Amino acid sequence: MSQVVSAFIGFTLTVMVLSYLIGDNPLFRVAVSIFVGAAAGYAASVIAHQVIWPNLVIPLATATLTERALLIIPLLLGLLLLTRISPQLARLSSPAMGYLTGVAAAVAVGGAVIGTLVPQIAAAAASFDLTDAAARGLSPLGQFTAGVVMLTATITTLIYFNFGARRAADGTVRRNGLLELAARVGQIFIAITFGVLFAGVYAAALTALIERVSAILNLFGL
Amino acid sequence: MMAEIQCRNCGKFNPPELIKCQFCQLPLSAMDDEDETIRPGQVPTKKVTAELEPILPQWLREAREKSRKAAEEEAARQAAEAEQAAANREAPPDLLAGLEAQSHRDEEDEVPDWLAGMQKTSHKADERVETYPRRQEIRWEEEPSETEPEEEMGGLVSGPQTEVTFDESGLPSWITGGPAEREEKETPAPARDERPVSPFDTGSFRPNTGELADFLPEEPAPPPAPAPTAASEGNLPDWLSNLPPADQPGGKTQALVDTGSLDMGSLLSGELPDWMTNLDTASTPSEAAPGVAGKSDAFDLPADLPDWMKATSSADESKPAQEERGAFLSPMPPSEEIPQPPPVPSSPAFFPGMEPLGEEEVGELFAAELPDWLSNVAPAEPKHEPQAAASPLAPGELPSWVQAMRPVETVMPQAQAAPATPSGPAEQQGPLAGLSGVLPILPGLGPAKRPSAYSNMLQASEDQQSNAALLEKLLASEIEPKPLAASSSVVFSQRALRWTITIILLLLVTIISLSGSQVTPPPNLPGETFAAITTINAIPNDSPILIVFDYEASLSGEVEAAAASLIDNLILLHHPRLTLLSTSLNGPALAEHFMKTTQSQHAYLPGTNYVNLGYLPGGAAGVLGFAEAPRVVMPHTLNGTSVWSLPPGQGINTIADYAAVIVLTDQAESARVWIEQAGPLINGKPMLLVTSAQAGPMLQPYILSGQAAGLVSGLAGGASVEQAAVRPGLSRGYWDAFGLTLLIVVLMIFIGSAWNLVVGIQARMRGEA
Repeated sequence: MSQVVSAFIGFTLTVMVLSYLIGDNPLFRVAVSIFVGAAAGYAASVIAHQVIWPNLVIPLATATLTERALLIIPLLLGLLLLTRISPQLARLSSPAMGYLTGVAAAVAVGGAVIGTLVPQIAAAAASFDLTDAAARGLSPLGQFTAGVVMLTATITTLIYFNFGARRAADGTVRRNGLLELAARVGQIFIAITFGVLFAGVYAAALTALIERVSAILNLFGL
Repeated sequence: MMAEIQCRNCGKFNPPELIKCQFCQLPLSAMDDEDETIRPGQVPTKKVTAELEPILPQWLREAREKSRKAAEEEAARQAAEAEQAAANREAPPDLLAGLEAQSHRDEEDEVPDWLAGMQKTSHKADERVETYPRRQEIRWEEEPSETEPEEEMGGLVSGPQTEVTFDESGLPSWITGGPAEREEKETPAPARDERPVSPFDTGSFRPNTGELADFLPEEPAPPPAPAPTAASEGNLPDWLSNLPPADQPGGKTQALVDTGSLDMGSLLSGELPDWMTNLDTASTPSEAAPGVAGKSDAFDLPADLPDWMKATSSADESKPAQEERGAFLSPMPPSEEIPQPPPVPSSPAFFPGMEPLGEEEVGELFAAELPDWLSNVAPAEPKHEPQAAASPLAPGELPSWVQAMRPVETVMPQAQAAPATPSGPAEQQGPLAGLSGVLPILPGLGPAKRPSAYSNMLQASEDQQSNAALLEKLLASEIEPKPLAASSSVVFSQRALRWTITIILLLLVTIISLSGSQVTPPPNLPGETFAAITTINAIPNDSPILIVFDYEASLSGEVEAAAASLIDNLILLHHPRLTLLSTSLNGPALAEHFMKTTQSQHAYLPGTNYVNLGYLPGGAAGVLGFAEAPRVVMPHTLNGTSVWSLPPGQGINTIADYAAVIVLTDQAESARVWIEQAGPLINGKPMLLVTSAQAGPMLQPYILSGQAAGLVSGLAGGASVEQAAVRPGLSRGYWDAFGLTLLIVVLMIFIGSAWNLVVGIQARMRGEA
């Protein structure tokens, strides 16, 4: 029974959202409001039930004295964050916000350097390691070609975003001819990238539509 | 009624009786000399102090005359000695005496250029020495008699001297205000004889106590001593009434009485106290010893006196001294009977034996040993100043050293804008008491100038105003409703086109889904998907697997379709112990939904076959913390029970204890966070990515770098996995609808692009035509 009710609610909300085809209407706004409210309420319940209660309240009641003392720090910082509700007391939340920002920045920068920058540089250089390609059973020519394409795409794309130019004798401002050519090549790679991303977004949206239509058909046993 | 006085500063009219402006508080009287401030490089104006000579008391004038004569004699003697010494041998100054022999010995040596240049400069300086004689070379006796007071007062130039007259009582006319003095005040003084003088001529480099009288011009003159007249005798005390009349013969003492002094002998014969009577008996009466001799004996000078004082004393011996001393000193006992006070040391204790230099010695020191450049300072440019006032005590005339102390214009540039008026109010206290116009009136002390009026109107050109008007019009047009340029038919056609496309897609998807056709060939197996399948196949049986659910509900259909086949194969082949985790708030529910819908055939039970840890807060920091210590970061399940005591969590201490990490996400950022934070800690364990089609291309670099073991992207990836596993599922059921609809969409995009191209070309052709 509950599955039938939930399926019917899902069908109704799906139709209300699809009503946007005829323009902005109350059904679409109601559906959007329901989604926003349900998402916020669900998030609040998840945080309270899965974060605050098991990680703060229960330890404060059952943990040792040392653990309780250590829990005072996150409790105090959390209470300071609540002061952002009032503009007059918002300054009190600065320590907590500073702590969060600092930790997040440190973790993000460290992860980016160790997990992305260094490995990606090594991978780009390994593309020209024909011996390793042969050892892995790959075609050295294909590996070299792929490396050249990636290197060219990387360099030309970076050149495209270089807007430095000099003023010519006739007063016009133009980039160097070689740089201009490389920038145009980089522009092509950028266009291809955007096309791929658009295709992926469209494919995801089309898959969602198919899933919804299938769900409706399944609701009616079709 | 007198006319009102207009203020020179503010321009307002004030009553004539006011001295200061009642509006700006500045003096109303006009200023005679606006150039009162001294600018840099300007030589202070010399002030005449010699004209004060006539107003000095007689005894002081005679003392100055004697001192002057003695100085002239001493100067002449020294000049003669100097000339004689120069004739004998042209010797350098003493401080260079030792260099003479050396210089003679070095005459044959080669002189460097820089030293030769210095010698030339020295010769030029010597020439200037001849132009401006030094002080000891001045022949005071050769100066005209009229200029002697001027030279004595420091070389200052003064106007013509007025002859002092005496009245019947012997007092000068300037004291009694006689007709001669009044006539002198009324007579305008002739123009000053300005000429360039050197600083030594002006006496700027020597102390001149005589100039102290210059800044006391406005002090009231001391009242003249009243002459003993018959009318005043009635008010005198008895002892004073017994004094002999003025015409009684009495020698020198009687003459002193005539000049207004008192006869001490007569006073002693009256009602004097005993101690004064004793003094009378001990002293010699004036009749017994003439005053000249008596006073000369009484002032025997000590031997350690400076020369200039001795000269003055010797000069005094040739003339009667009663006038200099005053009559009240006549009956004083001689010096032999008066106990001499202990000699006052003329030098401080820390300079024993040092004696202060006399005036001539100081002058000689400056004249003989000063460097040439200092003793030949060029004279200032002659400056023609307005005619001095007739009165010798003209207000506002300051000595040169006082003028030098006045602020210059560079320090107070506003001083010229608000000059002080000599006729302003006199200072009431302080060292400048009695002087007027000494201190300039600063603007800060009063409103010196009316503030300029500035217009508040913006000074803009016509072009600027037109541009501003255009900008204003553009901004105003932004909030005005604009009618649609297209006609209603165009609007209807756009809506019809949108509805047409929507209907085509819905019908196509519905028809294909209802048909259940699988006519569309499955996609080719990509390399990253093949790697993912290979990795799944290599996972040991009953091993712990961490599955991360980081996608939203909107794309859950796609991600679930892509991951369903892969997870199905994993469970089917290896029966792993699954740990579900999510960094998205909706993730825990989506994870439960995924397990209950797509993996329901495996009958996996929560807490037994899998455990849902729920939401992992903290973003990247939470991922890092979980990768390092999962037991600490996520100790409980959604039900509040301990995770790590359950079968799926047993043996897990770090993320490296998992056999594989599978990340299901619809955003590339979420997958990148797991790769960056947890990838370095999994110790070579495989990390698989199942993503939406929109995130797959962004994660390809991590596949090529080996940071992710495999990738299943979108519906195509899921369909390829199902095709490889030969287990059709959701992806294959969606694949026909997806493929055909996508083909129709591509056709519509191509047709629409071609239509826009044709329309654009036609519009351009019409525009050119």
